[in-house]
Amino acid sequence: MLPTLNLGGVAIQTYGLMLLAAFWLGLQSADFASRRLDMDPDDIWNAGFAGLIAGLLGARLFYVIRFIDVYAANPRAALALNVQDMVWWGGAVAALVAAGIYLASGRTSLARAADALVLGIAVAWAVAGLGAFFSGDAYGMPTTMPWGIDLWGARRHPVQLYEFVAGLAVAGLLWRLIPRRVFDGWLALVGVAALAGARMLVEAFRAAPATIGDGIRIVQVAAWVVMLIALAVLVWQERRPDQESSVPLQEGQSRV
Amino acid sequence: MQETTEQSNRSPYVTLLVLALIFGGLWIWQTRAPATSEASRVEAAAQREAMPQAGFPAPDFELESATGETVRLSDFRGTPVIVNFWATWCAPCRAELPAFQRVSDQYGDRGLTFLLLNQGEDAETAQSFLDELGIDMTTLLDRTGEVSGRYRVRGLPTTVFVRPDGTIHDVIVGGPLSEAKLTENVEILVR
Repeated sequence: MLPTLNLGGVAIQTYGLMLLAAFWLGLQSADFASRRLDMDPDDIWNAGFAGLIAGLLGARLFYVIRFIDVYAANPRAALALNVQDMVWWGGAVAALVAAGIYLASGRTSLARAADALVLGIAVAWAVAGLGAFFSGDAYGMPTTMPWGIDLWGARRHPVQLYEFVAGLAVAGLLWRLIPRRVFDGWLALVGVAALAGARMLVEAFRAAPATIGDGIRIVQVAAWVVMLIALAVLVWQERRPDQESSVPLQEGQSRV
Repeated sequence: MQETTEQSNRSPYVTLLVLALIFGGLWIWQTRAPATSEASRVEAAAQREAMPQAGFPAPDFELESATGETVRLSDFRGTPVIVNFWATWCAPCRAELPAFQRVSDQYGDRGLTFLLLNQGEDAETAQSFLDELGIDMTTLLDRTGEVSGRYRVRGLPTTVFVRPDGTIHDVIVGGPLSEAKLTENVEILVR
């Protein structure tokens, strides 16, 4: 476990550093994928940074709205450079909307951009898992398996490393499937289904999960639903009467 | 018609969808977290060991206050406690103390206690610093750093939010903490 790096008397949190690395490596991976999809990689980077800026502003805006009484008494606090004062789901929505608007307003097909970005999301998930491993967050259940790690008073599933491996495996799968794309957006749907499926599997080993009913893990259910929706859309796309064929596209070729 | 039926039968997506529906549901059911499973019993045993991590019991400590009294964390069992590791030379610590005082004033009648654990300084230095800022909270002297070591503090300030049952709700490394962030966590503690 390496939760902080002490550099020149300043303690830098490794999880935060790894999240930054996840963002950059994710965009870099999407850049590589976009080149194989005959896209301009600049569109990916610009959409990524538009999403980042909108995400940070959106996350803070939602937080300020949530604690409006506190910020009304001290409005300058709304501009504080503090990443803790964020509503992350609000930031995610704002980031997706901003990136979507940027891509939709340009020459790039939104569906094809999603094909490139899903590969980046898989890589980012893997790196974020590594960050959680360093910080000791999101730890696993106790185990007697030989690959268990000693953490927080018990030998535990290295569930953060499972995430790392699963993210890289999905990214590798998507990379190999690029030449087999059937239509723009196909890789994104396959990627979302694969990522959600992997999350559903990995989440089973997480300690102290949020549950509903008889111990059912909420994150697993959410991932299961997302996976089923992605697969259902693939079925629907395949059965659309205007779908020309299931012959894979050539790299960079488009069929929406 | 027959051709369409054969085509749909061959569709890998339909097969995957059905498999995901069945095996996904089974997996979720099989891996749920019931209180009676072996893993949960082991987990519960592990949880009994105090650890400076959310979800675990907060490590207990006994320290002398700046006014000479002996204070134990476990004395406050049944009420929410915020443990803050700080020092006078730490600028973010100084910046967040006024927000601590405001939140303390607001939630004091609901049992909220702040324990300010000064790191390595003497009582006079710590107390005169707090008096200057108008901070009126229990100040404890962790002279040898023994408690900060037990809490694996790697940077100042570090703030630990302890629920009334003695388990840790959250640990925030770094600062200054905003009043909003404090309020967000305190609202959970006093719920």
